[in-house]
Amino acid sequence: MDEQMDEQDEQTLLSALVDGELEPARKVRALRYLVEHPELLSVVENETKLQATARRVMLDATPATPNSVRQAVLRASFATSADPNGSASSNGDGAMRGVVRRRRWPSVATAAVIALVVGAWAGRAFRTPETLPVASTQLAGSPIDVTLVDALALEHVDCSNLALAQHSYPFPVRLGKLAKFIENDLRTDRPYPEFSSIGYALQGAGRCEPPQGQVVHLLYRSTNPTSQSQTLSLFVEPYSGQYQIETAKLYLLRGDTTQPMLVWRSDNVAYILVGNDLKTIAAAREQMVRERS
Amino acid sequence: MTPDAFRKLALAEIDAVYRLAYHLAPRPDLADDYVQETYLRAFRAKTDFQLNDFGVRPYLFKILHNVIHSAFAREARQPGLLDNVEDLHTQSTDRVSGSVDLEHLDWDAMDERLKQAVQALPLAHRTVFLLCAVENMKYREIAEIVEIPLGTVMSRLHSARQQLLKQLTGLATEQRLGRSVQRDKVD
Repeated sequence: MDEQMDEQDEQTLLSALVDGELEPARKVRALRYLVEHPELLSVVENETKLQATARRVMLDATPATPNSVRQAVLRASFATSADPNGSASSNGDGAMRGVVRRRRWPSVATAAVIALVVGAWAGRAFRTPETLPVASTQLAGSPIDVTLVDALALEHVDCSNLALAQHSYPFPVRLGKLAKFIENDLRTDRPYPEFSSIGYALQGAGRCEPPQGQVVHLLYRSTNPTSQSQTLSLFVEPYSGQYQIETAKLYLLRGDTTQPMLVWRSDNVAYILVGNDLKTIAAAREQMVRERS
Repeated sequence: MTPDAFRKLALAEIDAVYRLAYHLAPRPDLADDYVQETYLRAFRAKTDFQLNDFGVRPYLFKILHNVIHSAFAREARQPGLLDNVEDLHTQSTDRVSGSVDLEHLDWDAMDERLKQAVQALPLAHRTVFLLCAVENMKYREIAEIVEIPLGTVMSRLHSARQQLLKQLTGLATEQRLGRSVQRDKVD
């Protein structure tokens, strides 16, 4: 190290030493210089303490990322990924604006998804072995994109919250040809399952924004006067290989949200059930299977 | 890198992006806007992203830095907000001695003062300091993010630390005086 360096150069290099930014040869020289100039040890000590303390203080002073921001970013992710060119898209802007405008419920997740094949428990819950045997193998990862799982959970929560405004239609208006597929799947004359036996009534479907173009969201609300905030969402979508799920298998997905999801498909339709607890969606799923048989 | 892969990596960094935005924004609600704008730009440009030595986080920080820089520049065009421009471009000429007297400083009792001192740093210095001290970025990463030469990173960092240490010297004096008064009362 140059003995003639001025004070600022000297301290800049000592800062680099504290930050571990000196290459080995310069580090050795800097340390030797420190030995020769022990009065500078306090500089290194102060900067080291400052660095560690500042990190702790600033981390402590940072609030958690607001859910509204997290969800806005998630929506932008979807909106822009829907653009096949990946280029500037007004969808992304719209998604951001939409989220900022809308009221949010807390705790919709973005983190990892654990994909579980419903095992023995589900085998007990769904007594429909002839039509939907439960898968017996463990999945390595989620069959559905993690961000879609989060978006569906978000959709469920948002639409539950805003159902009066967004699910006021008595019947799904967007089903289109899906209606026929669902009728065939359910073997009924109506293109939606009936959950009255488990205490839920169809609230409707309609203007609630789907996370993907062809997803239809059916919202059900508890008919129990004391628990009318409880809701159940059934997302239906034409199936064309977009998810890595097999027919006759039932998948349980769980993000870091409190909303579990059951996912399965027929040849033509993918179904995703989202509710506030696993017991409810399991009962709804069982009801669908029972109705079919 | 595929858009999906990029998206997942980028979303995993949202807390870090928000943290930096929060400490650089003049107001917390602006941090929200900065983060959203950062991700919007990132998602739009994702087809151009190549995962290199720097990874996704510095890439997002770089966008965030540009977003904030643009926001300050926009505000600078508004009358009455000239302080921000000065803050953005201030180069500290305030030199303090490296051998500040912090011997008596109680490092565990100076959180609030240090936080205020960091927040009082000029934006350019605060950015470099936070990237280094809080986000553990290497100098060359900081240079890439802020688009300044490596030497400027080092000098800004040095200047930021000197200003912080100067603030803390005052606190150390207060603490020493406080202890002295307490001793006098006991005696």
